[in-house]
Amino acid sequence: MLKGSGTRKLGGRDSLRAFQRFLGWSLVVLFVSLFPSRAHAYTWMIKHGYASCPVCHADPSGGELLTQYGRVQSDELLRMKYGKGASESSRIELKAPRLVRRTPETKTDALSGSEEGDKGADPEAKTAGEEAPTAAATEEEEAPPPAAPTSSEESSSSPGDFLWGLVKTPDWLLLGGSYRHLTVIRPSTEAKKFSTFPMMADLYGQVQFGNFRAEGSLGVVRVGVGSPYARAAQLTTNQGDQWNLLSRTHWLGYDFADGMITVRAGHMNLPFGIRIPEHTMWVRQATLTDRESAQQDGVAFAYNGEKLRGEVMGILGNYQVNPDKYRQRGYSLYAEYLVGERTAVGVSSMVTKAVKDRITLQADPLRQAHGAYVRSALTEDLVLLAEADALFTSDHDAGYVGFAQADYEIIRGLHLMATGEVQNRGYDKLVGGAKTAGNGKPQFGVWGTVDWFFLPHCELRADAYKRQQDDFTILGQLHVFL
Amino acid sequence: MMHESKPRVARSSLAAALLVGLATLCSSGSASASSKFPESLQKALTRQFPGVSFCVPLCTACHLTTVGGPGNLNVFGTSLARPLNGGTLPNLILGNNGDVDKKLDDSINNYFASTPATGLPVASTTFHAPQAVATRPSYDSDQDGVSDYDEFEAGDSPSEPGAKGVGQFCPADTAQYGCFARVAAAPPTTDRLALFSAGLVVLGLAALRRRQRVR
Repeated sequence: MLKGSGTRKLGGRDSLRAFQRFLGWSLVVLFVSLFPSRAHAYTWMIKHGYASCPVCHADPSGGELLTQYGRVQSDELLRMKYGKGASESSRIELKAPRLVRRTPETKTDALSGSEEGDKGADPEAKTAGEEAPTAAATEEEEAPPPAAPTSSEESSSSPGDFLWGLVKTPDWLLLGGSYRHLTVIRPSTEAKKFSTFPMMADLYGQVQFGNFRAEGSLGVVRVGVGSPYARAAQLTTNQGDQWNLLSRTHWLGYDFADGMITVRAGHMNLPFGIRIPEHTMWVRQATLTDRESAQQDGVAFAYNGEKLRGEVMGILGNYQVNPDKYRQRGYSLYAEYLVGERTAVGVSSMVTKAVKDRITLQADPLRQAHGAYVRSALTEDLVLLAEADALFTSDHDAGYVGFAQADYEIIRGLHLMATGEVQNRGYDKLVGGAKTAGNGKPQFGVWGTVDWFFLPHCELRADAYKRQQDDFTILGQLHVFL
Repeated sequence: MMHESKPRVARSSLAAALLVGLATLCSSGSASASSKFPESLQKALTRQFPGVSFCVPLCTACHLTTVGGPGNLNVFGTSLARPLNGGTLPNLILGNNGDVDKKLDDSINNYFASTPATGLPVASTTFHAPQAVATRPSYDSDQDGVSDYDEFEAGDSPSEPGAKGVGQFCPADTAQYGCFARVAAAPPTTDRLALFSAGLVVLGLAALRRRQRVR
């Protein structure tokens, strides 16, 4: 049941409670009944000491659904602070848990099937500072309170609750969502110069009973005929530009060793490379490992140790794509080692085989991608992300793809990013013809980005990029994540 | 009393604003520019070959991938976009602006009405109405000895070499997406209204959160 977070404080009036329920459910229903496509994770969070992903995400390799702790940290570490005291508070560093563990408290409540632990507790006692460590205790019980509650925050709501604290969920339930609205401007194109559309509108949820977890996402999308985006995540079967329901992820998982090991089966993001939110970045497109709609069905084994983390997935194909000839099968994996407090290096590998490629219609495509990456906080404010992968595709010469991104946080909540990317997907010997940029020759692209977390769980982002053989493009994006 | 009634009024207004905002978000456009070309190509080919039933083709009718987009043309797309004999560009202009149906109709008409420049792959073809009925050389983009005109007339793809019946223009085994039922047709598109609505929702929720904190 949804429970209005402000109910107790406001005297428990039925009308107010009913209003809050109505508002909460209205938002849920309307989000589900609206639009389309993408996902996010901020790999530069390593600068805050978060080398590992499950601290803040339900997915052991990061992305999408936030834990309660992750939601608190999003509010505390990501967004811009305003007003008096902002300058003092904006640089408060919270020591991250060194290892994620699901809490005994959570498991106990869930196992008992009782909500007493949740309902019976004084909601005012569960402030952000007291609740977050429960959601992500460390092996050595050294996780500090993620946010020191101010006097104004000492209400029954917490940044760790769903929907900006409006909806308090029991410990066994995680809810989340993401809405991205994109505006594209191509000043020099002969085609459409301006377009704006909802790119993503997804809801996420996870239930946990003891060590067992079930996660899923549900969204709505509408893309043009022939669009490479969102199609592969469709649940409904409209093939034209109508609306479709989609699910990017849905899996069942079981945690071992206090959450250090997670085995999952279902529809999941491919474990490969750096999980950047820019799904159109070449390094994600060329390797077919973006989180927009490149998820696959399979079985995955994830390990999250203090220094070493990784995941390997046996890919059984995407069963939201038909017929079977278009399904890729093989494996994908990454392994990452923390070489310093705030530097991690990793390797990735993937091999897949299909009868036919759904995008190029190439017959019997065998795809391989193998590479390495690094994430490093060079200073307190500057983070470097870099990845390079070798590509081997049947009927193509060997190719490569890579990117490097520097992220500088000028003030808390405002980031400047500079990104360079390069690709040569390997000369296509079937098509033949002259070698061109990206097809036998290197192709370069540069991005400049301003990313502003202007309110809790709200992000405004502007990108300007220029790629060889493409028009200069400006992207404006509003991102609200629940 | 006054103290208690104020929040209710404010919250009601906020709720109304949120719901109006969210409701108008339904009027948003699709997540990518919806290309009109496949449907226009179907119409143009149907007018050119009245006896043949054409599907709405994939972007691979003219492009190397199902993504389509500028450049990235296959052999037929390259032929179609090539200046006609005598240096006249076809009416095919990049982008979805203007009357795409007319652009493609003119382009297909010009394509089959013209004789390819010297050096381009051709095959002898007997044309029927609405073209001038005659036998003359015509484009053979995939260089398989069967002209593009004859390939279309047989329902074949002019981009895939092979004898008649090889490489269908409308293959039956294209990738299909989704698992179950269809959903309702798309609502109307008013992009800027949707953007405004999204902003309204965000501001409303932020205000609600702020009000809750102040309490």
